[in-house]
Amino acid sequence: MVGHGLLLAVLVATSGALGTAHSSACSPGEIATGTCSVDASVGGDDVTLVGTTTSPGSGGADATAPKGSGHSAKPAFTCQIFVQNRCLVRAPRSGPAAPPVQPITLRDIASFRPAPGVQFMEPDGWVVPGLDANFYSVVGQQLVTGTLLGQPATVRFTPVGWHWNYGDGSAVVRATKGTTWATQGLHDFDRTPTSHVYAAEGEYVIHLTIDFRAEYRFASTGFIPIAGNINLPANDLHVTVTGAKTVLVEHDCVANPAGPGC
Amino acid sequence: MRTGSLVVAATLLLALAGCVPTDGHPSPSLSASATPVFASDAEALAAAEKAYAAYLKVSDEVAQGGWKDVDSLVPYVRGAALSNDLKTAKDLSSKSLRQVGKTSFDSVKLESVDDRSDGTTVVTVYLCLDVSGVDVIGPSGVSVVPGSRQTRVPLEVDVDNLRGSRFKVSRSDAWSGTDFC
Repeated sequence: MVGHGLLLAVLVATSGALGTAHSSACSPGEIATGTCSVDASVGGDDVTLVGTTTSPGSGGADATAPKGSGHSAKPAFTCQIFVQNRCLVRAPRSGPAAPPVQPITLRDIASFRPAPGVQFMEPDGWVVPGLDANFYSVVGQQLVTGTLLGQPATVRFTPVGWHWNYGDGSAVVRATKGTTWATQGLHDFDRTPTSHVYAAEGEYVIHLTIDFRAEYRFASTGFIPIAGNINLPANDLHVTVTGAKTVLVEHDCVANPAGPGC
Repeated sequence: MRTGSLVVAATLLLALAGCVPTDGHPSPSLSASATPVFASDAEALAAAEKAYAAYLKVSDEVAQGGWKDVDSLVPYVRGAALSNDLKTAKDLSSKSLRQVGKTSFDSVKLESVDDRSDGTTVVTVYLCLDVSGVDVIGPSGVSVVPGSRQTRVPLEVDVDNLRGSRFKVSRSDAWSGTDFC
């Protein structure tokens, strides 16, 4: 776990840059036939999806560029995060109001508090060793209003990282809040992006801490990001891991892709 | 041939279920402080790329054959990704479609490495799947690909070695956040 310390930090930054997303399964066949539906949008009103960019003065445009954008001699926006010549995050359009001179820090918004998330698990409270238990949280983007530097302001909190400590010595940071098996169209005990397998019987306590990215907005400006994340603990879960008899059944993965081991 | 691959699949399954000894894979340690499978993030990324490339190669072969020989996918994909592949293959083969050309992928970025206490390591990556070199044609030889098809799709992919077995693709989800492809 020590070796992944840097990775975890990067993960939070990455998920912040990419925004929150809902996933849907997509096979290469669906993508080839154009039947994989990708809802490529980001929540909120300040970040706009940019599929392609034009270099200043180049006049060139990708075939997928929005109509009318291809012949502009100057870029139509300012890019906040550039990755490999592509704009990952577009900077908010500046409004008529002048932005405050000093950078806002997390300390400045200490009086704005997001509601902590709530975690749940399936099965509820018990687990079979060796089978996946599905952990998920209910938490979303929140707008909190108040006063910042003497002006009315809104702070937007977006959950970006989920630190799960499973109580059995393993801990992980995930970029998704997770959801129920049913919502994902999965069977009970299927692995999910947020599931965990306990190897040994026992009683465990699961701690979840959620990282929130914060952005602030004055009356007529767009949201402006604040450096750093806020970490808020969610509720603890208590789980009993007890054995179950494993019965080997005759099947193959094609006939039963949801079967154990498939 | 078909029976042969089923036998291979069945053998693999038995191996996964722990009924027969697996070659080259020591039994996973069940201690909570299991040694990480990968010494570095770069190693984890390379393993994920290798497993995904192997999967995509076979996936293309299955697609070029009209999505019929789905058994050959089993050594490379499992779980939710396998379920979805089988569902898609059933649909496309019933319409007598077949693929021409090869799918490619690039821009692989590591999202996370999760060493689980049961010996499973899950490597999650972002990647761009590119179907610009791929056409899908119907029984009359005419392309059925809509003009609106997205040729580069951002995906979030899990590759894991279920309880110490070989690495397989286990999840392939379209990334609906900002398009990084």
